[in-house]
Amino acid sequence: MKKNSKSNLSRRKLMKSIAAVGSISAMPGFVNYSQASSSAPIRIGFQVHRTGIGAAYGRWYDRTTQAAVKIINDSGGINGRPLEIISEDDGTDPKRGAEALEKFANQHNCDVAFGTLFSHVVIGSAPRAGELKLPYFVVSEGHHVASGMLNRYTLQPGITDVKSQVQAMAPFVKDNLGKKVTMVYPDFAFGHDHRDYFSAAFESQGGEIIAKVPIPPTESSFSKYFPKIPRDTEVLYHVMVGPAVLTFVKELGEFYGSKGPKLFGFIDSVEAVDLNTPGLEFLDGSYFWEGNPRYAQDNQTVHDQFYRTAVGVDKNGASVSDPKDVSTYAHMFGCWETLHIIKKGMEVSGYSDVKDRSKLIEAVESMNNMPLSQAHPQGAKIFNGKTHQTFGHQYITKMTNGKLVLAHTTSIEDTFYPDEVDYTKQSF
Amino acid sequence: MLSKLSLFWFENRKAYFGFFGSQLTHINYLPPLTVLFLAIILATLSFDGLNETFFWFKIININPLEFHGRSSVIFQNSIGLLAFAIFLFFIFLLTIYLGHKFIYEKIEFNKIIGINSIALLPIAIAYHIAHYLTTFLVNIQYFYKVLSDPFNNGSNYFGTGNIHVTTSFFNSIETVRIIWLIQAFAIVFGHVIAVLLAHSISEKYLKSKSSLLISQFPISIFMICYTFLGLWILSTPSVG
Repeated sequence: MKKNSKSNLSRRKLMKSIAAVGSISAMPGFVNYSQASSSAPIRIGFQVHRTGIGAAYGRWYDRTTQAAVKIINDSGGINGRPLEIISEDDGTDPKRGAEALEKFANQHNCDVAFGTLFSHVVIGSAPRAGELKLPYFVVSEGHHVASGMLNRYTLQPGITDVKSQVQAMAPFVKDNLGKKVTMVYPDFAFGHDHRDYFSAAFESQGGEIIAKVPIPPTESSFSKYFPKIPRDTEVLYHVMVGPAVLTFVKELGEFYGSKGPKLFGFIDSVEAVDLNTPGLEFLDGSYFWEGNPRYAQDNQTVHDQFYRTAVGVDKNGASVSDPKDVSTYAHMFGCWETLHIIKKGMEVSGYSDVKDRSKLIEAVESMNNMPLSQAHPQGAKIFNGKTHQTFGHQYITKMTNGKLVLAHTTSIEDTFYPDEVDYTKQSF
Repeated sequence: MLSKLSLFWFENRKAYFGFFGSQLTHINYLPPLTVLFLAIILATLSFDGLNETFFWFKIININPLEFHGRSSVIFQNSIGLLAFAIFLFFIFLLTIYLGHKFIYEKIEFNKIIGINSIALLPIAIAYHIAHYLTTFLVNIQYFYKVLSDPFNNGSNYFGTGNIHVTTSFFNSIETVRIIWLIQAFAIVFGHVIAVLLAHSISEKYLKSKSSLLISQFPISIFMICYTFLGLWILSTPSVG
């Protein structure tokens, strides 16, 4: 029978053991924690829509993120430390989004959090980021950051917001498509944002919104709404989203034939959808806002070329491994650019660990001009540190023979609007 | 219980081969509460499809285009699932009761109801295949990818670690048609088996042909309606 091991451990033996441990840690090659931490990975918590209504965006946000991380790591990481992505599915669900942030901060020891697209997830998560004092870099394009409803820990430096996008469309529509616009939009917050921002900008330019046609979100047939579009409509502004978009376009085509008004829409309606899908022919000749042109254009920059190749997207905006797998090209560049901004912010602030989080935020807040480069392949940007929102060029493309061809690039100034908040006045 | 639908089975050290559900025709008794159990199984599967439809979102008054995720509908969906299971339980009891109410032969309802509920089993499997086929087609790709790096340490044992998961087959008419045909076939086939099974079970305790036909009439109507429900769930606009 074994004796109790406790009785075998004399004080002398214990002291010897402690001395041995001490001498091992003093040996060359033994890396203690303080040294290891300087080369330990920078951990970025990636809140991703793997499931739920944002899954199509999530897949491409993930792919773009992984590509950006590889590029950054291959070129030496951040301050010599590799970048490590810790992904958590938010289920496109605000409650789960907030839980993901808690896991990043409390379980995964992430330095910062990053993601995600859907506004309601960002709005549901941001207060928790503030409580956890976790810098939260979002790629959502919602106006919620710049509107002042969030907090100092939430920033959107890598993608423009919908308010600036929509208002920047007004001059082009008025000068090139027509002065009398009818808006058709889904009758909820997303559609209302378009209705309010566009009509305000368009009317201030001297244009006229002659009708507003809201469509209930669960509607599956649209013919009955088309008679509400006035006959003298010169431009039909449409922003339908959801599974009924194909039906909407098909019925619109049947209603107007070849004699309809000019069409202007947001790519969100057909993001990740192959434009050669039967039923979408009617869109040929119509114009779209694109955050970043899906098809490689004649004036493609070397930076877009590099970014496209790194992510694995072909010249038609589809996956190189499956030409029918169309990317969310108009939005996903935001992940690439945001990660490069985090890198720059960490390098400028000399970020070493979580105690430097506020220094990182201050460093990003002090950024302003972001020139077109490998880090910013979508185009140059101007970041507003007070509103935590970036501003950049918007693209208008025309669907021509099943492809989207660049028709106009807005200036960055077209996207400006007065500040609605100054987050730098909030304490950490 | 699902194994009872197998084409092969062993009994008394002998191997048997028979049509789906053949084994079940040998069962002479099952407790009445089996109906509840099978109703819950079937209701869970059907409701898992129904709760994603725009129709359901209209009932619970939530905009499907800005759906705030599953945690926002836990209460509504729990109530819905419970109500659907209870509804299915009673509708099944009713169809069996009505079927045996107007026949001359004396039947003890308690003794035959459990065994009749077996007919729900093939429908449950059919729903399982049809409803989760699309999820399977996506997740099998993730599985294939993860297989190369099961410990998340950057290894690539089978060279599949770098594949990109695609869902393009949901965006082209040709592939969607194939998916839809497989789903529709599974559902219709499941219901046909269920009808045959219900008929075969009744043959065990009903003697006259007229009794048999009358007893099957309400359940057949129910099966037809349920087939329509299943196909409608698969084809109607849904979330996610």
